[in-house]
Amino acid sequence: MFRQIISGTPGSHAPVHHVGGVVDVAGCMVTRLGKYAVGELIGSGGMGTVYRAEDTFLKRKVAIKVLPDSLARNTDGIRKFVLEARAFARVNHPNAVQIFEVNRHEGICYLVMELMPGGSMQELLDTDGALEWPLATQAVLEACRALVATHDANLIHRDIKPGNLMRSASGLVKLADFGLARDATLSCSVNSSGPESKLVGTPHYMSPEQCRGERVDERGDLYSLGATYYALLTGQPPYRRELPLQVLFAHCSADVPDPRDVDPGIPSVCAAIVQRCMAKDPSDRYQSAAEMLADLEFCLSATSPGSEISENALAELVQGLAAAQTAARPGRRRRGPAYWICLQVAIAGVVVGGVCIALRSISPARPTIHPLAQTARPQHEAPPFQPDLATNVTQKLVVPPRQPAVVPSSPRSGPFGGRVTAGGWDLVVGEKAEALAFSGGGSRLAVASAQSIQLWNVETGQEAGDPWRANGASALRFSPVSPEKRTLFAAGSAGLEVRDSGIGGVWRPVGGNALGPVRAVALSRDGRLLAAAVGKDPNHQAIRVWQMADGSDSGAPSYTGRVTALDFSPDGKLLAAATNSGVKLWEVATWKPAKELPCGSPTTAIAFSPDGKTLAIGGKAGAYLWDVRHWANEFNVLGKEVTCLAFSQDGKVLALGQSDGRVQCWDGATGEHACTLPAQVGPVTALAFLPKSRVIAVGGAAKTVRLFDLSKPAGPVGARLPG
Amino acid sequence: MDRPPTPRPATRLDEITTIFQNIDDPARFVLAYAPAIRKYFLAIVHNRDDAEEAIQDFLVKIIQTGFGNVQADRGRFRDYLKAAARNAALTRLRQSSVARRARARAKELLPQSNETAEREWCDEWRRCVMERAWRSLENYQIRTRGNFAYTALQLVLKHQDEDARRLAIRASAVVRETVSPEAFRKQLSRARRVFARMLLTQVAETLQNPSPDQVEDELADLGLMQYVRDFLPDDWRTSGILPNVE
Repeated sequence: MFRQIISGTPGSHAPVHHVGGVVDVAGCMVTRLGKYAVGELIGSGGMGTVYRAEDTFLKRKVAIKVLPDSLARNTDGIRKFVLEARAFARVNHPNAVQIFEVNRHEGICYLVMELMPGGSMQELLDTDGALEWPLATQAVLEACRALVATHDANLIHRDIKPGNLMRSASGLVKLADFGLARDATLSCSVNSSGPESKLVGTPHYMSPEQCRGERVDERGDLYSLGATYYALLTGQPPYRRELPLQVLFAHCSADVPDPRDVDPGIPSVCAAIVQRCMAKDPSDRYQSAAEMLADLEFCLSATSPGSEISENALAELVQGLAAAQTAARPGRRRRGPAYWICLQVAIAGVVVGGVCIALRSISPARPTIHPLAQTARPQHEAPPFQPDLATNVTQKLVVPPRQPAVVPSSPRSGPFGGRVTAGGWDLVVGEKAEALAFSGGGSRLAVASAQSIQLWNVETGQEAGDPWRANGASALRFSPVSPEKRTLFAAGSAGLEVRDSGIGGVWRPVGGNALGPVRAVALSRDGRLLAAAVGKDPNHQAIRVWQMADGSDSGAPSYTGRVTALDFSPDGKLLAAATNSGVKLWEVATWKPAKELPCGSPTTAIAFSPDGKTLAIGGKAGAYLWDVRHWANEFNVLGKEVTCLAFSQDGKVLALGQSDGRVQCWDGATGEHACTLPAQVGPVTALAFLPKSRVIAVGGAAKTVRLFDLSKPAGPVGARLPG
Repeated sequence: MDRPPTPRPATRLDEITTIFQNIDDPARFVLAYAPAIRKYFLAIVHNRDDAEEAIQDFLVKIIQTGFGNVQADRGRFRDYLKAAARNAALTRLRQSSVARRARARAKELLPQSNETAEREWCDEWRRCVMERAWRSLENYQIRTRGNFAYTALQLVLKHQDEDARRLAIRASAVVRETVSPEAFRKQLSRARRVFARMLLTQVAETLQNPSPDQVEDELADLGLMQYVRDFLPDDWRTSGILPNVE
């Protein structure tokens, strides 16, 4: 039987509800909505009341959210309800509550969604208090996954809080309630027809910009998730005040809270993540949910029992995030006199003192959260090379203790005038980059476009001389052993040419003028051999090999077919070719076939790791890594087409350029994902690592080469993990 | 000078309006300039705990009475805020146990003029105004198709030693469309004009009666005139560009 009416009268703002049914506008008990048998009340809020129900056709337990009568009677209320449902439906992810249906029954508008029997994280906090940090971290990690999907669907949630993190029967945390969700491309709410006039959100978890009624983007959701994380760790919201205005004021101006002030037992890494999320300035926070997710995953994997990740790597993460918190506290970033002068120049176009004042960095260098970060060494000193990846697994992500991250006093030191950051810096080359190569000594970057090849001075970031004429060069290689390592090979539609990249060099053809188009070229590490895939017909190419010493033929594998890439093994014993059907390998000494690695789809890129133990293959389906010693497929990165790939000189990083413009960086030995570099315009066309560093150059359709320094702080802007 | 009308207290979240045209919504202004207010409290009270208590008292007062009881001149909202903050700080100091033991020192702790505090107040206020202008420009870019005014101005700010050709290439990479140097120059010119108007609007919103003279004085006081002087239309004083011009 039914309980007494709890509150209100039919038609009031608050819906009238019974256990086991809904009261409709006429005051009658409704126990069925369409095919759904309505059960007990679960919860209620401004935008609706939620009931337990059963789909009598599918025999499935569901949750039904009913629109209040007062809102159901006006068009705007119904429109908002439908928009909420549509926002819900855009996010299709295991960590987001699923919506099944939105409908109306006898004047009652309702939304059917996945039932979450575990209740919300807020309810858990109310009953049990603060969570153990691994549980809190796992919950936030799962919510963060949902946020990645939400933001990928171009939505901003705007109401992230413990009360909207629901738990399934199995304990999985799912993001719920998209009633305040907003389309990221609009400046107003999904549920609004005009600019916002009232603040929306839950005070304890609102970002500063949300508190001020300003535009909120993905970083606002991350602030709220950080505040939620704080609440889960400590059992209380970040700013406990009596009145909403006081809470909002604290969000806008108070120091970023440290959960360890409440519980000193909370790990530093958790506190550091919270504090980065809750930076006042959105530019000081994680720039994407994917970036935050990477740190959460690293945090959990680093601190789980049996973790192979060293304490040093974890300490680096903490140090870096702590420095981010320092930079973000209190209130906004500090801007010194130089900023205001440069602002004046920018806005007013004024040249001060006859010289344009070069802009100092207006934001402090974000400190380290990068699991592949090197030590803070002088820029041109190589980190220790650890070739034996098999002997000490913990070394894969170990770096020696580093100095605390500090704002560089001379921001112009380092490659390209010190301008390269982890977030990326564009070298304006003026053309689409078809191929890239760093010279062996690291002093030059060669960029090939459709019509020319331009050398760049790596130290200064300036052009090193005039561009060279080149027709359709699609591959560049610097010789590893030539004097000063500056002999440059260019392969393309005009054939294969070589020149000294110093002053006075001229192009000389390799293999004769009738070689025809060359689509792939490789140099052996000892500089002895040069291999190229030649032939007018791309589907009927032959592989030619020359001795570098005298240009004579060195024999060649017997093969005709499509070849998109070539590489010699570091010991010079094998030559690998990427073909339509996979990768073929030959013994260099005899040119007998050594191995064939089928990939199931055309391959477009190959590279041996510097230690020769791993062969990375990229193609339409993704990337495959093979153990060369045992010819075992170690792991695969599938999903997006890989257009190019490269190992760092120390072999620790494998970068995969994708057709969607992003670059995924992986630990070359373990297959652990490290980071995602932001999308280029169009597919990634070329990748190259600067020797003895973690600086990577990325070419795409834009007329820039984007450079990233993976050893520097902060995840890249807009990073996304593979879906 | 006319006192501002007594505002309706904003105790609920949904009562804090974000459409702010005049001084009748102190809660809204308080949130917009929260960093400046907090910094001022810390500068004049020194003791962090006392400052925090004073801030909370100040906010409660804002909710209950707005600025109706505050004497201020020139109709500038930052003066209202500063005066309200000083009153709240003084009240808290009188109430605190430290000041009770040294009652005579309360006024010394809070002298009528405190150069450092005044300077920090102005600096932070100016920074808040600029940030709001930047946000407005960013919103303008998002709302208006085909314009990248915010991007253009930001690129110039970050890459001051680059010419229009290079900046155009950078802009192309950001907006994902081809931008010629000429197009970039045009956008930059427009960006400067739009930014100047937005700065003007932000400053005007902090004045009770934003006449052209008052706006101009305030821009000069805050050191912002240099960003608008050359980029406003000649008839800005009479063209209705200012909000709530009487």
